[in-house]
Amino acid sequence: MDFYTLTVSDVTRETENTVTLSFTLPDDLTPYFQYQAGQFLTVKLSVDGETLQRAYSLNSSPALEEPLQITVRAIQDGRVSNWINSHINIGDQLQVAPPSGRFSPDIQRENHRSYYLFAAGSGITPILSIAKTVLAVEPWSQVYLLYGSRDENNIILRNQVEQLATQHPARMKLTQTLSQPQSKRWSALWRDVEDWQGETGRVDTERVQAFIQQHPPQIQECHYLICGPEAMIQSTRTALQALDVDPQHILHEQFSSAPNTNNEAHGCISELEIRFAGKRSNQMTADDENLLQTLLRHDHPVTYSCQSGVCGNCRATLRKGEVTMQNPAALTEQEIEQGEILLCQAYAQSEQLAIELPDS
Amino acid sequence: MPHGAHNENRVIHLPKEAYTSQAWFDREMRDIFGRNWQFAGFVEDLAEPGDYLVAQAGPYSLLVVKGRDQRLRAFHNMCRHRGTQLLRTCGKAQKAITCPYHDWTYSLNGELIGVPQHEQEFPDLDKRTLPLHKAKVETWLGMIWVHPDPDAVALPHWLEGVQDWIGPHRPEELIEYPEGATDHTIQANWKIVVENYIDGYHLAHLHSSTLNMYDHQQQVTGFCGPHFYFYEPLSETYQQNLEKMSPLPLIDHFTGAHPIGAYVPMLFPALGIGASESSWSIFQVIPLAPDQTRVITRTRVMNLPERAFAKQAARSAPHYAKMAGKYPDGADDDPMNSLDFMAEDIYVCEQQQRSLASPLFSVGATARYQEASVRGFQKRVLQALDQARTDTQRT
Repeated sequence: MDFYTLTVSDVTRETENTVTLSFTLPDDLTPYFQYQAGQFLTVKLSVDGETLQRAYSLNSSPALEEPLQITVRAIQDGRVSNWINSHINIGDQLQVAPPSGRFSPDIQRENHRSYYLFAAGSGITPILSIAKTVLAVEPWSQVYLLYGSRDENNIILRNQVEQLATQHPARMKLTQTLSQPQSKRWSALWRDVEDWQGETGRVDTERVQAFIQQHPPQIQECHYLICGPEAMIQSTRTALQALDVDPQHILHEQFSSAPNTNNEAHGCISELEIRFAGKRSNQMTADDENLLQTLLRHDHPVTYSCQSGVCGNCRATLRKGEVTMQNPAALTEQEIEQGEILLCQAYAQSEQLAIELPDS
Repeated sequence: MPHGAHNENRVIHLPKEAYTSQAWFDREMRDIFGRNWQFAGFVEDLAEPGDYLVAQAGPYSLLVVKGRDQRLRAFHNMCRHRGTQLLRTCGKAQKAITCPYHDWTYSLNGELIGVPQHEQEFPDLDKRTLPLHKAKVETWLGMIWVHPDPDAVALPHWLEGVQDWIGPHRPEELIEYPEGATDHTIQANWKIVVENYIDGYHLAHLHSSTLNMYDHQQQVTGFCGPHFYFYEPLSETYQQNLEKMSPLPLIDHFTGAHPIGAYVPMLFPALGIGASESSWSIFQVIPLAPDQTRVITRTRVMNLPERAFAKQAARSAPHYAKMAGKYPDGADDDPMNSLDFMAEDIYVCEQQQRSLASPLFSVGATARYQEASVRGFQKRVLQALDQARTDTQRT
């Protein structure tokens, strides 16, 4: 994966632990940074002498004249996200790889669709990009957004989201919900906290179903996109499937998972055959490393990004042997059945393995 | 046939058989009604999951059902077993759709989920291979529209530009006025009914007693793609006395760009809309036979309490008490003495259909301006039939 140097042109603090970065894009890099709403950038930086890379979704829209923008929430044990939140300044330079990712509906002028968007926490980032783009590009489509946050101080990109709904009253319906609104706490009685007007509770099965009932689609071709933590994705999917939504029309992206860093022995020592670009090579895996780590240890070229099973960049096909995967969130069940694996999640389970890497 | 008419503009495009022959009728069903978007009802007709309605689109019977996800889905109303029609008119399905013949059962998503004696009688049948045939459904201004082809062009494409010509009414904010619903079977070809609906020349004459609240000489008409549009302002007297003459509470949706008056488009092939100062109606033309047509009307009015309607009716009653029919000396049951413009229209449509039986029948001439609509419609019927022929040849 090629990285380019981009300059941070703006830093906006969204919440106490979330920051939005804008990048200036030199003209010669523009062709490399074309993107679709819902995609992410991979940022590479050095923290305490170690080079780390992470994927962050773009919240900007490719259809609007906006700078590339990512929003980064500092997560527990997240070395990169914490570093960005505490160190980054306007004018800093970062190593950034071009946009990728599959959490993108095919947005086209001709479409006539209802988009049901479900976001929790920093999952709003790609969802906002998708909502902005749909409203800009598809004059006949409708957007229904259910957005959950923890409390009033942790509504990421709140202004942008609310502004978008105000700009498109006929085409966008927004419901916000807080799991722990401050104005509903006892302490709010003697503090000056504005009363929360939205809903209270998590984005869970019941709320998702109630939201759809309150907002029946005006356009009958419906697409459902979900972005947030794993539990939220699960409960939203469960709700949708109970309503007979065709799983083919549901797209999700999992957020907020820290890369897997515990190096307990998940796998076994195995002879790994790597098929790539018509060539074959062999390496040995260690029992405490995933296949991505094996490849990186041997300097084998490989595309990867988030290292937490979410982005899908390190997809490969298992041709021989067995692996276990911890959190292959970027793969569908069908893809797993067909032998697709994520290298960053795959641990060897048989003494011989063969994988095929896609041509990049 | 009047092809000898000297002015190109006044040529009537359709031959007499177009109004009488079964072959023409069958072709229109297949090539016009079976290939275009059709109005099927209003969204509130399908309020709850499981609610369904049935619509005919030329040779296709279609069903629209609301799913648990609140989505409307359209399917061909035909069992995949031996083709029996699954549902009738409208109603409430339970959790599934069951064929009356052998109880084959489909989910609200159209999947085949139940086959009696499956293992014994159909050991090789994979239910996944026989879902209901899909059709297409969309909604617009609170109306449900269906198309037999699941890959049909999107409805906004089909209606492109129409929005600017049909008046500023927001029917989804109006409520149904049950007294305004009618259902007639007319002994005339569907095109005679449509031509009557769009004919601007007859308004001042046939309806001299019943539609005199509009200024027919100010009518503005034209076509937007295949669709006809029509606007005329209120007559001066009516405008000046609107508050006391309007039979229903006035609609407050009018703007400078879309002023008060009557907007009366005909969306091709056969959905009329009548959007006026006080009501918004659909006029759904359903061909039954070469000489028989069903017309359903449904009307929407301002969402106001009952007493507002009673008050307005009482207020305008003295004005209507003075009205006399076109043939005031006629019998009480004479449609021409009915003070009902619908009865007047039905009367002339049926009379015209009867005259088609005479060997002497011909259209002698049509009005340059106020009947341009009729010529334009006939031309579009021919174009639609030609288009179907070209498309079929291509495939």
